Amino acid sequence: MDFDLTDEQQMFQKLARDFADREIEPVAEQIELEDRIPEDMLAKMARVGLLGVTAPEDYGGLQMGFLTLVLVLEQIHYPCTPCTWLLAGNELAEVLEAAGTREQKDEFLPDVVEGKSLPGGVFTEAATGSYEDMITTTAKLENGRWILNGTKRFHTFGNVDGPAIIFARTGEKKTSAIIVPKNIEGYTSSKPWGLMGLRGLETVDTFIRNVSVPEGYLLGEKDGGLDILFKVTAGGRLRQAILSVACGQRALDEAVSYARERTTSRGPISKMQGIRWQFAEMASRIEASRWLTYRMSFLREQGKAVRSESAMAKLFAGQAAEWVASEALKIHGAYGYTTEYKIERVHRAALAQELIEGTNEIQKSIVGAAVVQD
Amino acid sequence: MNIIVCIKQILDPEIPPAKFKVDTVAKKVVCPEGIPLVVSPYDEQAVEAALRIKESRSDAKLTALTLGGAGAKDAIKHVLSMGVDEGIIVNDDAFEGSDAFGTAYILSKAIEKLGDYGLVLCGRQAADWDAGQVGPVLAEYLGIPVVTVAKEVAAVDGKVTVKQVLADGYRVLHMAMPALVTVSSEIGQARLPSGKGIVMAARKQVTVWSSQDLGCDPGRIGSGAARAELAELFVPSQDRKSEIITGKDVAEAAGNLAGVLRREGAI
Repeated sequence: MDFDLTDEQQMFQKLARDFADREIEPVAEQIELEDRIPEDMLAKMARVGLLGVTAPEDYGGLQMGFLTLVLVLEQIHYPCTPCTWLLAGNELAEVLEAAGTREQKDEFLPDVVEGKSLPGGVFTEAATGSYEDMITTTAKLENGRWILNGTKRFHTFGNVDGPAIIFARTGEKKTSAIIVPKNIEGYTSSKPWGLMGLRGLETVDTFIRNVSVPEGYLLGEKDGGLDILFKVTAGGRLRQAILSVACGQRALDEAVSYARERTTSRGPISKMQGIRWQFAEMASRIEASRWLTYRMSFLREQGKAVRSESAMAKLFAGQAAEWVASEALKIHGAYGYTTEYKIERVHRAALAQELIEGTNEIQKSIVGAAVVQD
Repeated sequence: MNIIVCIKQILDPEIPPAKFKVDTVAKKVVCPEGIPLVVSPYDEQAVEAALRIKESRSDAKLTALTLGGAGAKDAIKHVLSMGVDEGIIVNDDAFEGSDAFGTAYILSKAIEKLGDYGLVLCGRQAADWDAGQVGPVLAEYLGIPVVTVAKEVAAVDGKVTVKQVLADGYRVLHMAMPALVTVSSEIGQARLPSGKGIVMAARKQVTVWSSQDLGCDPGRIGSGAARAELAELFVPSQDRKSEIITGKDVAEAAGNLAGVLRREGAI
């Protein structure tokens, strides 16, 4: 069993870490305070190639595997900011690779890889949660064009120009995935939801009123939305899992740094056995989360479905990160509850991964069903 | 125009002090396990200077040259991913223990083997030993002019224009090519590699030359040819103590302070 990363994977890992150190960490507090990501961040990411890690070389991408993307995401999310979501182009590349046509790739991928547009995608509606049957947005084929109507919820960067994958009902209990260029006629957005953490992540409701797109914007087969969704969500869960790993690692590092500096009459609290045992628990859970996620990402790169496996990784890593961040905050004592220390922001960021791409309970249902095999 | 950039891989200067260890008997720095070597930051800035020249003229070809063993390939791959065109490693057991003069001699033989070139760039000093000798000595061996500690380098119309850092500003110097320039941190932060650069770097072959390939004189390389002798290598202790200096008035306290500082060898 070979656990070594390739030279290329290690170089991408270092590139992402250096980018995060140089471009994201210095503005992390500013993003939090202003509730917005600096406008030039997307262009900076495009310049070093982070928007097309998995996209085919023909479209300006780097054609690296899913595990490489996961390694990049881990480093980019170490500052625990919403900038990580700007890498959504990689997600679009994966979906188009799995279900897109040559024409769709030609039209949408180059701009996304170059940072000229920011893709989105939304399944959720006010009442659907993770249930396909409850989708109310409709798409009807009329005179060679899809006419869409409905309202979508929690659409990340749904208000920024770029292609969005909209899941809409196209038959009795059937959905299809259709590409809709954001902000075309009939497409509007609410103001962003105020978020508890990851401030600057523009999450909007999308209002779709008689939006008309060409028939060729259908992704995959008609009524095949669920198949595409399953492909998307397995990768999405692993992406969220690795963000949990990043948050957990950051929380631990903040706690260790604080414990080294915080002294009592007996010296730094990092010398105390009770604190060290806490660090041991925290480090063990993070490391287990990391390698569980790497392993499942490797399997996905090999073409495996990893439906329940990705749910397992997301569940475990999300719970680990939430626990580690909470304990790391407590190690800071009362200072941890102040905005002077980064741990409170890290803690709020860590909570997101247990909710995005399906709650823990949804993940348990998926894993439980796979275990019981009924 | 061919531009050659000399780089060195060193222990990461950003590692925590607790990880820094030396073998006082062997008089060597012990590389901590699991921490990869990095390209010396001044050398990265020399690469940055070369890349800026390349962006200003279409005929520039950049070659990175390094002396080293196992870690050298990573250093070369790193600068290739930044945009350097070609990488060459000179490596031979006979090079082990070479001092700055030996290193400069080996690099000069490699540059002579490369042939035609217009400019050689080095970091102002390696960020481990901080000697700053290899660049100027290399220029001497190549028989070309040198300007050290540059904050800006341009190569136009067959001459090199350099802004050299001075204690109170800078001065502008012109040299005929070929020439050698050592680059300082004032040039600004070196660019990050690009993803495309990483992919391209992985596909490029790195040339390795031995002492025999270069036709080195055995009497000028290795520890036997070293002109400098390392007498002792140790991590200085950082004992802290405090002493409150008093006096019947400020003048006497100041005098007492001066006396203590003189006694401790601080002044």
